[in-house]
Amino acid sequence: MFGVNFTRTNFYDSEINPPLEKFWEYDADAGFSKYSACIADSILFLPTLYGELHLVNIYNGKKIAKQKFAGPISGSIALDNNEVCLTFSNSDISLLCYELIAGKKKWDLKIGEIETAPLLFEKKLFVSTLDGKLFSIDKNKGIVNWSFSPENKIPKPSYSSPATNGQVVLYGCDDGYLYAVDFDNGKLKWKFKTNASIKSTPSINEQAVYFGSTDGNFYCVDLESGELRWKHNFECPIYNSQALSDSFIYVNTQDGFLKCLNIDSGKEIWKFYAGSLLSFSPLLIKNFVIVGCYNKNIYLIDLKTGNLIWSYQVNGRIKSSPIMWKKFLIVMTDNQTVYCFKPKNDNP
Amino acid sequence: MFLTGTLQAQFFYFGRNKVQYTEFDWQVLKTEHFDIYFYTGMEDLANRGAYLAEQSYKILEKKFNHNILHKIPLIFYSTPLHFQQTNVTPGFIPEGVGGFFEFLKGRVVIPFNGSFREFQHVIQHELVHVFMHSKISKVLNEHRKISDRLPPLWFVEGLAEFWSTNWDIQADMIMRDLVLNNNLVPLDDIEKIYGSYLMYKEGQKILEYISERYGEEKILLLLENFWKDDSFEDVFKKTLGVNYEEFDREWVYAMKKKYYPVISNSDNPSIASKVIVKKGFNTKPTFYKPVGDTSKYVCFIGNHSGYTSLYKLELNNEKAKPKLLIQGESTDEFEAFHLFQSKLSVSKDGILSFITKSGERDVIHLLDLEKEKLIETLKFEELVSISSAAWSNDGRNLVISATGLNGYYDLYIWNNEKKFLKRLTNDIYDDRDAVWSIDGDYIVFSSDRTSYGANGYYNLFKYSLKTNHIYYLTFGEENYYSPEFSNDGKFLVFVSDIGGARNIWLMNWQDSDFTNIHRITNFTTAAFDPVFTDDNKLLFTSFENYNFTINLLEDFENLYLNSFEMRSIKIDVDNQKWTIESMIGDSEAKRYKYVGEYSMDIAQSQISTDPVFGTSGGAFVALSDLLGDEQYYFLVYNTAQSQSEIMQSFNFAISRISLAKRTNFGYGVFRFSGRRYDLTDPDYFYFEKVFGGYFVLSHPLSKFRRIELAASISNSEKEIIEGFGGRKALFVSNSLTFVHDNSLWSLSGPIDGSRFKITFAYTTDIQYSNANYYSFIFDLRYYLRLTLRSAYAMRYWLFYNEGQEARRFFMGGNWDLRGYPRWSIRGQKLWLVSHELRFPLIDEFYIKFPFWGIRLSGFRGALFFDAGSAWDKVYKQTLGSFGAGIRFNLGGFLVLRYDFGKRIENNFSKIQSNYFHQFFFGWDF
Repeated sequence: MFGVNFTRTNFYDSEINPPLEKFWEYDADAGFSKYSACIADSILFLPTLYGELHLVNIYNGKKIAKQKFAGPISGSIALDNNEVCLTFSNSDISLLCYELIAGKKKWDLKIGEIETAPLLFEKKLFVSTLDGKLFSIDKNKGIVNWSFSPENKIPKPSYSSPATNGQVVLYGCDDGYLYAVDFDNGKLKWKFKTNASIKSTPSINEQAVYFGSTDGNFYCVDLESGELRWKHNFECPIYNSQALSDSFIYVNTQDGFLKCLNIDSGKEIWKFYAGSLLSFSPLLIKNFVIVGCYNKNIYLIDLKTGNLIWSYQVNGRIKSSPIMWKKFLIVMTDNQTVYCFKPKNDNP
Repeated sequence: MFLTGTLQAQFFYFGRNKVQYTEFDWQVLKTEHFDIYFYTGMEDLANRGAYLAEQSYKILEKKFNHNILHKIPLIFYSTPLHFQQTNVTPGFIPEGVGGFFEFLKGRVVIPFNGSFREFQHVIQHELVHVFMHSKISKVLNEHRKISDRLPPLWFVEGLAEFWSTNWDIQADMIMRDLVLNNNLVPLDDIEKIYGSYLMYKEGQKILEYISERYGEEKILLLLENFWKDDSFEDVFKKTLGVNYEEFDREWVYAMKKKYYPVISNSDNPSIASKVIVKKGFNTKPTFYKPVGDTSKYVCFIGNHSGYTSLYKLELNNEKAKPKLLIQGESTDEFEAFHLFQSKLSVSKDGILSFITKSGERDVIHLLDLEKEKLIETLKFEELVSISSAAWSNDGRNLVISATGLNGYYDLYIWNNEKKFLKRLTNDIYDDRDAVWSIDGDYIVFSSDRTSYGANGYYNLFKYSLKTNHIYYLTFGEENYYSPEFSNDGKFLVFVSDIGGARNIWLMNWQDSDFTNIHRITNFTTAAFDPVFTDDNKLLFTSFENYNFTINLLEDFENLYLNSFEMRSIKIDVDNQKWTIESMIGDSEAKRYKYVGEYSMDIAQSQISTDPVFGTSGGAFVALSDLLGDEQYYFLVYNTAQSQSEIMQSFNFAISRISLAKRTNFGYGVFRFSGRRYDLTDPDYFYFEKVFGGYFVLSHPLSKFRRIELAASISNSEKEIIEGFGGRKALFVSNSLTFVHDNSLWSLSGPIDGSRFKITFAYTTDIQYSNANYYSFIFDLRYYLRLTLRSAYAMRYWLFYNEGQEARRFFMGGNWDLRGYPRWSIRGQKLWLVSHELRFPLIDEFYIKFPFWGIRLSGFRGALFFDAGSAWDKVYKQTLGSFGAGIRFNLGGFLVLRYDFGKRIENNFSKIQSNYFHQFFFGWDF
């Protein structure tokens, strides 16, 4: 899923050793959202803005199957065994569960347009909508467990995907609030106000939640109380999401920097200038931070020093978050092509 | 484009000339994101412009959350006069256009007008278009939709303004005026002001309001949601939650709330002063009183009839109307007045200096106001654009604000007795509106040379002619313009936008420290260019109700004593000058000589079927270089009706057109083969094979006159279909043409000026002697302006072909001899006279249906009389017609016309009993 896990830390517990080489490329014939694709069982599940879901073999880049759905998949997907949950915008249906083997729809729901990544945890599906609401849905039955709606006279959309630790579900909204909602019943636990819309997806660890706001600040808020722990000003709006390790936070900023902050204090440790806008979120692995850039480059950056270790130029802007599976690095570009990289001379 | 040995290609061809007066030595500066094209002489400007462009790129990359993957071609010109010569766009560039983005090849073309702040604004404005175009295209492609549309113009231009400049005093003046005069156009109706400056500013204000009310990220979201619906209003609703009507309710109300209170604290200029010139647009007044005479006059630049011209009005005569002194825009000498820019000045001897464009550069004319006669025109080889010229009190010198090739406006003194030009300033600052103090010791001028100038603020300075030093007169984050001294030297008047509106201020020049200034007006809108009369009054230009009028303010001394506001100027003597960084030395910037960079303009293929001529298919490709100077056209098609005909029915044409220099030329080769029906020949179908080459040359004598030369050689083989006979010939055809056109156009055609064309040609068959004829074409059209929107139009034709196989001319139909079937009158000789009265008929009507309405505007009427004839050897009869017509301009590019009337037949002896009706399209002659 987007963010690698339900706490949306964007941390993939694996290593990769550069230099990498291009393994294959795949033409999806439509664009991708800023969210990453998903990989399971050596299959790349690739949703497109044309409303198609492509299934691609990771080991050779060949198409296994393709299915067209109701509308553009502007958010992302969630996988559970042989079922995939897809979200749609500008379409009659907003959420759909599809059985891959049977090749048919299991259920669908109309709960408002969705342009965020769904969150699947303990058979519950959480989605935030363009009406600003958060829904908990029984993934098997396709019925709404509960919904939460901010108290805005005029609904404000949410472009921030929900994250959870199993007790609380957090998401941001264009009203500037980060909402913490009870996992089981959808009641508001607390809310935290920023000065502008929250477009990024929050990341959670045991103590705190971390997220950026378009007011230019990156926030660390206590998970229990909703009180501010620290904030760091980036002097430009933050649209992107972040990656979290035990000690550091990695943030892509609007002015082309990847910045590393101390997770306890928010102090900047290092920064790397990529030259142009960066992909929606960095991907953190054991030894590197991986970021894509609008200048068509993919970068591997040393975790500790921020030094560039390896880069590669593809044929389009990299807006979507890169993902990894085993030794494979998947990069989606805005020229409708997916690239797969692997360590050089490493036979898969 | 492709001459075929006949003269039909020029048959209806007039038009003004876009003259390439200047031969530019183009260079290219390559930076990280741009290829910047500039020419020798403006290197410094190009380097600084490159820096500004890179700054703007960084800003917009963040705002759009998007980048541009290719290098953006930026073409800089150092002055607007050079900019008007560009071939990037084939059309004329009107005065006041600050730059444009040409989206076919993604070129951005920008002139420098003296102000770096404005330069940055325009660069960023045009880059907004570049980014928007790229972003929209990407958004649509990603959703697999055809990128064949853009947002509406109010949004496109509004966003370009909103994301390139702050909401400034001038913009606020426009909005204030709109709201207070109930002229604010709601978003739901904004197409009414399509393409106008008002639309730019309303669009900018709407986006500013959206940003404040809904959040600036909503603007980006409008672009990112663009794929969601074909209707932008629906995208608007999906993004903001309101449609246009709902948005208007809150936005219009917000504007009223903001601007209505202004009335309680200030007055319209027409209330607080006397309007003395109301009609049209009027600016730059200057006072004149003849020596030994009691009459008093104001001279000004105005546009009352469509031509920006110089006028004079008697002040102490209530019934007097402005008298036209010099008509602009219709002759070489006074090719263009710069309506909002060029200052007027009258010397003590009654000599008026005024500035116009004349050929390649601006010149200063000296006009004796008493005799109303031009006495001299001053041309300066080193100066390109001149913004102001003001006399010294002794009438011997002019202080001039002007620029050369480098684009920077500096001050000069012209000694009109010794004919000597002396430079006073030489830097990057924009020095304007210079005037002499009465004692001749100082020159006071407006300039952006304080540190506030980096943000575009202009202050007043005085240049000491004794010490050659420049001293501050004002200092602040406001603007000060248009200084003028009173006749006794006691006061300096100027306009300033202190407090948010342009008002008139006075400074007592005899105060030793010049620190106090007094505001003597309190206008809701704005005042410009104040000048003193000789009797305690001020003349000035005011802006009100989207009009520029000349107004008179009485008793300024009393207003000074009882001023609305007094302010003390505090001058920060430690204030540093500002500068714009340059790309010189930047490792990213590399400079090269420009070598033609070609790319495709159009590539089109087509198959067509005609019931008479059958099916044909082919392709057309046009290439040009980045500057538009060199163009190549390739046409290939085949008209074969069966396989065996393929080779013989192969057609092609290759042409090259060169527009780089003043004399434009073109040449090409062609081969055409196929079935023809030629109106200029006797009535038969034939099959013709023709191949050959041609050369054309066009030399503009000025914007209004040119000479054209054409020569062609073509080998022709003709075979009559379903008949007997054929003809072979090797034609050589030459023609010489003189064209004049200074016509002014209204909705359906010309309404003022004249057009004239005369052609001599000779065509001969040099191999078989099958043809040998002379041609003479005389086409004169004159438009006598009756009122602002009506004219009496006359046309006189004489077309004469004489010789062997001389071609026939043809006429008949709405376009010439009305009442007769189209092109039914043919002959080797032809004459036509047309007289037509053109007038407005219906300005606007609106039909409202239950669910929608239709608004149509601009219907024009005509009463006409035509007479003519055509014959080969023997004159047949004179034909004529008379009647009335209606014309309707559809979308600015097509005029629908309907004529009805009666024919006069049989050598003018019989009038047709019935009426004829003809409906077609086409502009008035």
